[in-house]
Amino acid sequence: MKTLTFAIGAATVMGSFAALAAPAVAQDPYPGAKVAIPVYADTVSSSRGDVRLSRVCTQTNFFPRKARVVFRSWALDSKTGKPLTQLEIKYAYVKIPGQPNLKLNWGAHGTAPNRVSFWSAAWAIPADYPLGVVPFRIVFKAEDGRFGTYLQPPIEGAQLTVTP
Amino acid sequence: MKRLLVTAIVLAGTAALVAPVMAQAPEPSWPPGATQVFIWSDTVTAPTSSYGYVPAVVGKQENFFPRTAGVLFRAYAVDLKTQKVLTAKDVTFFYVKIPGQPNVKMTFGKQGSGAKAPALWTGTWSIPPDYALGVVPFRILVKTKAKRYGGFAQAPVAAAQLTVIPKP
Repeated sequence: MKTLTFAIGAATVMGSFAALAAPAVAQDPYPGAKVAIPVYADTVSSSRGDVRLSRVCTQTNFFPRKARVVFRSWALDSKTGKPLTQLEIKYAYVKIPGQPNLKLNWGAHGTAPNRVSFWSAAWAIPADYPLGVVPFRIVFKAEDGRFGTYLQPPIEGAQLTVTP
Repeated sequence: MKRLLVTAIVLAGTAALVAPVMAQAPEPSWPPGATQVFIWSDTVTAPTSSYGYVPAVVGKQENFFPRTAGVLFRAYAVDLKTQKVLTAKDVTFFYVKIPGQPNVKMTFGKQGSGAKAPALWTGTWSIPPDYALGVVPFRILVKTKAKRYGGFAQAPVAAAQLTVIPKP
């Protein structure tokens, strides 16, 4: 009986330690454990569109209906460590719920002499697009068949959001 | 003499054709060169700063910050050799290098609420009240325990880079 009591006590203590340790271990790295083609993306305001933000070309995740969202992106080839250009990519697009896929284009940005090339696309938010978070996804397919995807970290307040 | 004249005309013609082509050389890809570790990063409004500044909206992606505000750097990194997303146990150092400031150490931890909240690397910089106005060319640097290095710099598009503005 004494042995059984001790065993139950020990199990309880072990269980308590496990319960305490669990939250520290349960840290799922964003965007996953492994990534074959890592993708950078952000959203900036546009100089065009029916509705324009007070600042142009600045990073933000809140856009009113009828404004234009500019997606900027680049992807690295894990084999070479270099960015994937239009020569290595079969297709690249932004998938927005309820919208046609938005093709990403390779092109130069910035002003001389600091112009650099990366992928981008502009999305004009329809006047009747649902308000709230837009769980968009960016997809790259390399010529050799590998895929790279980007999803925003699912953190409230920092995701692309359509406002009135 | 005639041959010399022809040669000179041909050379001049070639130079005239080549010069515009060279001037139109494609702009370099971003990010430049090759890296061992990929880093994604952005900046969002921190809930507060060491100067007590509280933004109108917390946790919003932003690149314009007034003096005394808190800049929350968020990042994740991938070792391109192993394709593994780096966690706390994988790195020797991970920090933000800001001109004229002590390095901002990035720490790995859960962001947001809920059981499925993702873990990211984050670090907060409180902008000093006298920090120079304008673009902040910060860099994020990581070294893994396998001695592989990575760096992040914002694309050189001025309006979309971290910028310090006067306090409202």
